[in-house]
Amino acid sequence: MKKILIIIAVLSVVLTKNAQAQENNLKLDYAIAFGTGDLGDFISATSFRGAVMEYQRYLNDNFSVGGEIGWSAFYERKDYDSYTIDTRTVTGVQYRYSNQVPILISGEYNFSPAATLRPYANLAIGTMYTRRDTDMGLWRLQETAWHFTMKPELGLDYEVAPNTALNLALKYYYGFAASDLEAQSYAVIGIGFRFLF
Amino acid sequence: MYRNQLAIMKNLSMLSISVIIMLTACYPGGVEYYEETDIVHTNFEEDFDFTAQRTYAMPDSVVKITGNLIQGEDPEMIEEPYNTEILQLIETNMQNYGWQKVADPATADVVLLPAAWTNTTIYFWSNYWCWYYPWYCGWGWGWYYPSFSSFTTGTLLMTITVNGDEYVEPTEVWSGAINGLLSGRQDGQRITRGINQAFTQSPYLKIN
Repeated sequence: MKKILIIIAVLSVVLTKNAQAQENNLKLDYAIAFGTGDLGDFISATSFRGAVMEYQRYLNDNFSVGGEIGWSAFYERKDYDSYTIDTRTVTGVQYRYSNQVPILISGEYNFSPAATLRPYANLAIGTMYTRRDTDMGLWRLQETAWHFTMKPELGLDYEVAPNTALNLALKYYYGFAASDLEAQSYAVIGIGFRFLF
Repeated sequence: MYRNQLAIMKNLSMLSISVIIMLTACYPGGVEYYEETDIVHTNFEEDFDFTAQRTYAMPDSVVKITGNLIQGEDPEMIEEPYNTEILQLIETNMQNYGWQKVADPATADVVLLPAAWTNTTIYFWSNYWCWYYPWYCGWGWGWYYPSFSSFTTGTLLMTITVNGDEYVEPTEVWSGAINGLLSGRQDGQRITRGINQAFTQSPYLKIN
């Protein structure tokens, strides 16, 4: 009985729509990304090519749910060097590319929705598409995978105009190992705007 | 007031989308120079004991692999001065690793066989068939010239073989392949670098 009461209490907080003035928000962020783990070993250079779009619907003042889609392109040129696997050695200049496209559903908790400066925490799960290309000479090795993915995010919204906030976010995407690729993970600094409507 | 809010949101959303597109538009580049297409690939038979060998034989010409060879005609050879330069460079590298060259392959411990080939790929732009069949494109389409682009790659393959049974089945114990886009200029330097690299990355060939 106690458990049922707790569940009802939680659901009533989460699902009851209250007097929240705006029902939706859309976040558009430019993404600067840093590869970690296997992705960081493959490409150590920072990615300055990326973007994230996230839509959220408010369930109450503090809590919203929605989904996001993003893209980060990693690239690095490796100088003339040798790579050995078993008895084979290949030498040449390598061009390495990795494109990450996370597609996630998310939940977000806003700690002080009425303030001008609004910290929030976001947790998302879903999938991430990875396309990894290794160009050497006139040859290309292409590996692709879909990863089950989790993303925790901490961020700040700063209201710069009515229903418009500057957004700064720190995110960490972790795509679990898939059959064709090891786990792919990267951190993102997101800078952009959040629009409430 | 509400109209002002909408205007601000609209302007900022357009601004953020524009900035994102601008910052992400330039997809990273790739090969810019011919020599960046050069690769050297080597492989060896790990059960073969190179250190137990002393002598090698090598033909005095680099065979050029062509369609003629496949059709059973006499093989072509690489033109000079590339032929001699390639053979001398291989010889120098083998000598540095302690190998002694002998003239008769029958008495040599191993035989080194160099071969080379080129491959040209031609791209036609679309609409070239309008030049060939102008009526196919209709009267209003005008006259189309074919425009095309092509590239040629070159490959040098060196293989070290050992005697099979009665020379019937020579066994390959090492291969070194050099491949790249040919430019027609400074290709000799790139071949030199490739041959030297093939031996550098094959330290197991060193017997001295």
